Amino acid sequence: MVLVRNLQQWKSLAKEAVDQTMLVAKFFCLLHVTDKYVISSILVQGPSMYPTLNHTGDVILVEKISTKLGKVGPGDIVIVRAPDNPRKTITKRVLGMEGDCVSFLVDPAHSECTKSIVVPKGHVWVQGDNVYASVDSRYFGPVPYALVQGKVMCRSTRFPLLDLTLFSAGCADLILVVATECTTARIFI
Amino acid sequence: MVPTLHLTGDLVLVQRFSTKITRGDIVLVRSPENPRKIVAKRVTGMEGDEITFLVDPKKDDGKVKTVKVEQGHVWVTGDNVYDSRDSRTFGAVPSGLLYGRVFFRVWPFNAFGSLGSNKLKEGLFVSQERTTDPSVKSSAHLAIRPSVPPYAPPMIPVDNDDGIFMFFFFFSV
Repeated sequence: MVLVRNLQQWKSLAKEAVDQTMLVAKFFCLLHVTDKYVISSILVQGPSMYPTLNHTGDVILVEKISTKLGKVGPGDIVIVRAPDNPRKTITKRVLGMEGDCVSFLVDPAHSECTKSIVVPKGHVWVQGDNVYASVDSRYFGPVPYALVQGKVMCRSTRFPLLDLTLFSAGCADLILVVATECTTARIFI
Repeated sequence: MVPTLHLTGDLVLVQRFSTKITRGDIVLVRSPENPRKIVAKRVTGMEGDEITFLVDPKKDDGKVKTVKVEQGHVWVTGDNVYDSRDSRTFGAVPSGLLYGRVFFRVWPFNAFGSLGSNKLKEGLFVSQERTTDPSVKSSAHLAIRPSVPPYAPPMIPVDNDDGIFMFFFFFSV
């Protein structure tokens, strides 16, 4: 009799344990899918995008839907998997899409000479805002479009404020509204 | 990729998570010319290798070209060198474009079995390994691309969809 009651208790306990585990698993799956395919936040460092992004580090929100739909254009800041090292992700600005003719300063610190190149089919030309200290398409050439992982949407300055100055015109169809209890977000369009 | 993969289509299993990709593996890569297309090719050269290949195997001249594979890139070729748009057309492919490694064929059933990494076929390709010399820094400093990029559009306006569009199962984590 005692054994039967214990068994029932164990069964309900086991059921609850399984339910909780499934819930946690579902949550992590959702988190992973959102991070990989919808939107994610990353910390970027380095001097190549100064003054747009800080040298010491910035947390930015990167959305991945625009790149899959092909809505990336010149002027967008994108994160790109580095062609010379697939484990490295770099943040640069797109200057030219396929077919565009891009003119760039070859070595601005030492000379004034410029070069023009037509971006081949299926590639993009990326360049850092700080041309003096940026390893970008001027060094490794045009980047295949499939290496572009996401488009930078906004920068988080101080939670819960969001600095949307990086919001580019091409992203107007993906308005993200962040509702917080205490303050409203500053929106620059 | 004939004769390794059938012209009419094959159902293959693709390993999505990263394993060490070496020369001779059949891989799926996102085409650098069209980001929505995934093609199956064989890796014939890793970074640092010097690849010598026939410029046009259909012609009988022995004109060869030698290319050094850059850092972080792989050289991919189709098994059917006479009719394949691969690294000979669009240059070395960045490793970030590798999509997965093909390791098993499921359909057609009479060709069921593993698609292992073959030894490199002799004759049309010669790939020499270069031992990486740590004292020599990679010449990335002001390495301007040549004025005619290796992936310039071909002279003959042929839209050769060599990427045999196949359905694949993938093990995703």
